[in-house]
Amino acid sequence: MIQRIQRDVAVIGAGAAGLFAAKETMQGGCSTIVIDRERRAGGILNQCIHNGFGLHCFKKELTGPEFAAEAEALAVAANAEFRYGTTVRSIDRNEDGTFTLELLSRKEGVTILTVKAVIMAVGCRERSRGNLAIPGRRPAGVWTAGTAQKLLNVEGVIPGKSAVIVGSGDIGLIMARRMSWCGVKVQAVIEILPRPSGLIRNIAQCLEDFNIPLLLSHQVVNIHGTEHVAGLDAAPLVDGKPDMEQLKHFDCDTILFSVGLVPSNELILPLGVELDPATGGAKVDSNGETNIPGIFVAGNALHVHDLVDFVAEEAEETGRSVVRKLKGEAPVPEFAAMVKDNLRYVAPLKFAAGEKIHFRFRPTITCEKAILTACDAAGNELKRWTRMFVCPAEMIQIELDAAASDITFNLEEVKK
Amino acid sequence: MKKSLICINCPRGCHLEVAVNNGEVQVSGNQCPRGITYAAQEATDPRRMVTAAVPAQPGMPCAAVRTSAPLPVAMIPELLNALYRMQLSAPAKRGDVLLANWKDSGIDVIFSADFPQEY
Repeated sequence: MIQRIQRDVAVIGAGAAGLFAAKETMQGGCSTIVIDRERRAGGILNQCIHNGFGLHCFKKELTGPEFAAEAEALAVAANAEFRYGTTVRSIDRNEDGTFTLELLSRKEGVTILTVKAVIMAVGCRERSRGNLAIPGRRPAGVWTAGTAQKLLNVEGVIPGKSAVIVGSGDIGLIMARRMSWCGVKVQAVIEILPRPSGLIRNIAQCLEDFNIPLLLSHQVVNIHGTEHVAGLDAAPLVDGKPDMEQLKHFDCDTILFSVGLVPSNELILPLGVELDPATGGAKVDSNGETNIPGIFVAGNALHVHDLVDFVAEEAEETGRSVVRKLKGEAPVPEFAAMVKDNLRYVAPLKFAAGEKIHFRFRPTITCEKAILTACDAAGNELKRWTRMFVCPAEMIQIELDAAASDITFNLEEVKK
Repeated sequence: MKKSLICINCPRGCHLEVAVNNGEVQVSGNQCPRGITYAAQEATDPRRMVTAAVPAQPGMPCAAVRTSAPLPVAMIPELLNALYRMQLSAPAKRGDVLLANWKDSGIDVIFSADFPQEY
């Protein structure tokens, strides 16, 4: 028996972004159903059992599961409806502008859901060994850091005795500490860039506490082992190429990859949603809406954040925009936001004038002091912000009373 | 005693030098007062929030736990060993105390999620 139901809004994903978006759409009077393939709320937060979450949002320091529980409580208090253990198989756009979603779950079978708007809060995926073209055999014992995190923190399985971590992303650093605390010898973290990718505090707390060496400007050149990982070779980069004369060998039975995250877009690509090559996520306007009216994206599915608190804030804004949109009160974003120097991207890419807009950027430079400027189409400076210490690992967020003009953002180092 | 460390209070990550002579703490390399507080604490009484996944009976997922406050670093290995030797089965709520006043530290180990969780 196929169920057919109708709601105002479908939120896909019950992680931080989905829970905060659903809270807002419910409070705005839109009936909202939150769908997640897992059997509980929280998404990736459930496996992030370390602390450091929630300082902005909840004004206290929480672990991942605690942040998830607090966020879930907000959505529940707003009377959002939940479908767990449920996969969204497809999203189709109807002629009248509504969307039909095919849901599949073990418990409820097939459900056909029709909604006026969809908020994609599906998070991101990890880049894996396959994305890096690393030579060597394909033995067991190679994991992405997040998979190992779930294995260790949820299922209680320690993946090995001796590990090397490839990439200095935050999840890899957090896993270095987690595994060290579980008695795993973490021999090194290998980073191809000349600087760490993760937050500085994670380098300090997760590597230095355990005397784990961080090899910068090093590339993995071989993975040994037939059935199972037996070792790994890394070489320093000299003029951009690995110097095989200075090969470093590590005996290990486990290799974790923490080499970046990519927004997950599979469900909305068939609808014709345009992606921003700089973020890997959809191009959105200041309503959080894509080029397909009614499809909204928030959180790590839009661009990868370093703090869940910013995910929550962004998703709340998107939830409020969806409410305004469905009431016919949303402003029409007609001006473009662009980045010039030292910024990898800006989100949103289009905005409505006369609104207070949060713009979010990722810098490409590391420096002690920098000035961010916003200029209108004629080149006149609208506003400037001074930022102490910027680096690619930290997202920059600013608020601007948007003028009726295209805006170009520029980041410049202030030399001493 | 002299020690180099990276300040974790903000993204800047100042490289601090801290020296303790006859109980007097001297800090350099900091660009704000928070660096002094952090370095002094690190030099005299380093502490960490400890989080762990405590094993449960076979077939059940682990329990996520944390300390109620940062624990002296020297006490961490013994606490972790005690936690990893456990095999939980009784249900608990988020915030429930698993170990009270661990080794007279005044610090509890508490559940950071309901147990058991479906996953």
